Amino acid sequence: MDDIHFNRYGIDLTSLQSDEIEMVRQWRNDPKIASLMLDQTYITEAMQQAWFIRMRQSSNQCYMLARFRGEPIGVASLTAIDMQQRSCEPGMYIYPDHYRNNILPFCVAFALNDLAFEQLGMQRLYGKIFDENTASVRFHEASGYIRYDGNEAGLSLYMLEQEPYLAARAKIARFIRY
Amino acid sequence: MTLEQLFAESLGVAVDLVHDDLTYQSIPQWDSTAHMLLIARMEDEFGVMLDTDDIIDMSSVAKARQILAKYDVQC
Repeated sequence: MDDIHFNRYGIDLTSLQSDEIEMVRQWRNDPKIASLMLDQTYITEAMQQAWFIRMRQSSNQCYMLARFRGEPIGVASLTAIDMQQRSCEPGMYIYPDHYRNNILPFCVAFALNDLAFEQLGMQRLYGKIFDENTASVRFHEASGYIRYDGNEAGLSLYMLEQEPYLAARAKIARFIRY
Repeated sequence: MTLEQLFAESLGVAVDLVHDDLTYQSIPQWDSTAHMLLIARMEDEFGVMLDTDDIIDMSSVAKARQILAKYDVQC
């Protein structure tokens, strides 16, 4: 995909560059982040390098570094991008403890969702969340996602369309006062 | 309403669990969504409009009290 540079809600989203992947690998391997992932495999430098090359050559996914006031704070991604179905799967995490569990995760998620709906023309976003991850379930529901399916392993499927997203976003974005 | 009651209702915890040392990494109930509910309740209850930096910095009950004092709210 073409390089992305998108700024909203005080957050800069820019396509992940090769000199940033080691920092991201260390974030991703930290148990506080890895424990939230569907795939919890430890990622070696070689695995990260190979993933980065595949990712940059792919047309259906993009990974971005999220910055707040110039400081790298996390990773945001759009995967399974389907231009025919106009759908994709957003993903994100925030690394510094002092930026987690407050308004910053919403700022990153809203920037990512706006990018998907407005810039890429997506009509439906999908998410997969373990039921036991109650913070993520609450976060997605507060962002307008609705649960539409689940399985016995406790993994639920959620989707977000633009109209409920805009209604949900309005309730929280009013507190973003940069 | 006291600050402790406001925290208890917003986070869904018993009021006796709310004390100045309660921080937002210390209990699972204090997640991003609860934080924003807390901020909304705080603005309504105390009639203030918090700067976004203060919303980010509000990482404990003591810090909330300190931030609200900047807006002339004593609680």
